[in-house]
Amino acid sequence: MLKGILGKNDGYILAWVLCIFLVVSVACTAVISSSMVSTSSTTTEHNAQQAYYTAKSAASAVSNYIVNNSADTTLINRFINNQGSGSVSDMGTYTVVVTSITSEKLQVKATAQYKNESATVTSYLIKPPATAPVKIPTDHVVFVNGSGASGFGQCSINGNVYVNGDLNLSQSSSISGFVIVKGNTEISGYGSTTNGMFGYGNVTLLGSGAVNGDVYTKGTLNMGSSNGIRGSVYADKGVTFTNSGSIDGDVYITKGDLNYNNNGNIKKNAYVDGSLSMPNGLITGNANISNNATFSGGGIKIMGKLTHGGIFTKPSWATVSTYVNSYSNINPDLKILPVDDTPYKMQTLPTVSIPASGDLYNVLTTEDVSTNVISKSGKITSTIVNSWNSRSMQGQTITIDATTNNISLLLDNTNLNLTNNVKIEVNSDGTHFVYIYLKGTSSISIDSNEYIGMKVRGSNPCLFIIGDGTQTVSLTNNSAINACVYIPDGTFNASGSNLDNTKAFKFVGSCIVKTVNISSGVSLYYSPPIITGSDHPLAALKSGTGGSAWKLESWGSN
Amino acid sequence: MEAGKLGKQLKNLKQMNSKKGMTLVEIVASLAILSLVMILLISVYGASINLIRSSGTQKNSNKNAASGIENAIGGFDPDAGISIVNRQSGVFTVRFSGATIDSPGNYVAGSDASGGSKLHYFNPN
Repeated sequence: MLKGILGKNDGYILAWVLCIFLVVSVACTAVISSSMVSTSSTTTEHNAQQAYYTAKSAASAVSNYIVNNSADTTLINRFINNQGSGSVSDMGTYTVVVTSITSEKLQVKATAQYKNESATVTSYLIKPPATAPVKIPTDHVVFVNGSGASGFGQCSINGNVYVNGDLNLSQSSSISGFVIVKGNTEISGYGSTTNGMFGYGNVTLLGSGAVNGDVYTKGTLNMGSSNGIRGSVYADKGVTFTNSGSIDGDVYITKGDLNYNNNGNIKKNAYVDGSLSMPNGLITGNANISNNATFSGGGIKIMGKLTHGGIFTKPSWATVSTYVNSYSNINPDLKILPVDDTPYKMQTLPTVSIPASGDLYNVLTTEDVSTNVISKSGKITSTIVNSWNSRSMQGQTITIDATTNNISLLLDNTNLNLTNNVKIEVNSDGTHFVYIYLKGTSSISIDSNEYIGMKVRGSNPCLFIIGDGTQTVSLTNNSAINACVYIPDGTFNASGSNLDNTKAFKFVGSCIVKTVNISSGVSLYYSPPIITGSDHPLAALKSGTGGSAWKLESWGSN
Repeated sequence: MEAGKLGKQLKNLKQMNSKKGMTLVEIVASLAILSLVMILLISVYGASINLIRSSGTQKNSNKNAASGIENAIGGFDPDAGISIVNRQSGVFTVRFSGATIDSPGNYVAGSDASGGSKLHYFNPN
């Protein structure tokens, strides 16, 4: 054939060779390409699979941790709207972002990189609505069963706080924990902060008051602070900036307006089922407004996109682009649910029931305490108290020995007012408890260099100071208490310095009273009291009896 | 008539002698080049086929390793003869700003029974 095509007899074999060579070359090239693609695809597949497992590992680890620590709201709040990262050899690197979608739903999004491949895995955690009670009083370092409008002076509180009334926090006070306030909240004064809060009433930040977490309020938020909120805001009735403070997260307003009466700044997005008024201020992200948007003054005010459903009002000299970078006059049809207080409902305080009879009514004699050791239940009379305050007891330590049995002590119209540097220490194995009951006009007052609490200072309290009326526990000067105080109608006073500089606390434990008066830079630390056994007088306050836990709802891939 | 026929035959013989055919050298050279090229291409072809085959094996190996991991996640034993799973207790750490999560659990290494592909996963407790 080639011979015919070429029309000559000479050289056609060479043409055959070239032709065969071409065919074989094409075939080989195809096979080589195919093999290279196949090998590359297999490697990519392996790396992508590993990236997926790494992302899932990270999402699982974080989700699991949150589920296992559901009761520790303070801890969980540290991870919300925060990004974590890490790496494991053979597994690559990963980042995890925990986002609060609602108060009952968290998103844990993990992205992993393995060699050149990356993968994202998302898990969703939900907190099912729990039957009340969902929170228990002893989860708080301070539980105020009345108003806290004036009780928090200059103080440093390390733990959760509940106030069954108004709360005023000022004078550089700080609460390193979550705060629940049944009334109105005012945080003012230089540097006063909390780690997130839920307010049933209005929340007002003044001075340089700040919240280092999310703010939930069923009322309005008044941003009168030059500082701000280091989380998101969920306000049922509106947000008003009257100072130049900032909100680092998103702002959700269920039914109300967002007013910038001063140069406030929302650093993420605003979702407002109401109107927006911006003569001042800035929204760094997008603004989704169901109703009117009103602007005045100069300068860009919304860095992202404004989507609103009502009327856009501006000065005649300005244009839309004077104030917003992007604009759409469409109702965003927001469906912002009201702030849900279910997770913040509090258990009703159990009524104090002091035993009507028993060993605690046996009067302790001076002989019973002559060795400075109390190893049995009984009634502490003024005679005993006076003996402890005698000159010979100067600086002595009295031990309540609960290593083998519970000990109940009764103060019946008696003031345990230590005056002579005496310390009362509870020695417990962690399974036996000491109850000091206060009846009538009894009180406990400790002063300079005096201490009542656990032998190992700062440990979980096995000492319970329980009062059935308006009794008072007071700490003044350099004294300290390490106990659980449960006097729902009583008063807790704390002022003065700590007992010594190495134990930087005035109070460690959990204090449940009606009124607090805390001042002078007092430090309080939360330590969960040990409550075990159904016969414990505060068994209803056992940790874990309230609240619902986070649980894994579903997995996603983006 | 006879003379004319003879003359024609001579002319044909002359023409035959003047045709240029393939020399033996050309044929040998062509065959040599073709052989070399064919040997080269066939060996590459063979290698490529092997690569494709091994890629297929590797894909299968990946699948078996993943099967081992999935069984471990589900709390099942690995399928005998298909995958091998090794567990080692440890802590998976995720560092957040201001807090660190140390989640205890098991590092799971799932591999093909032949020891080929290997994948890693952390299964929290």
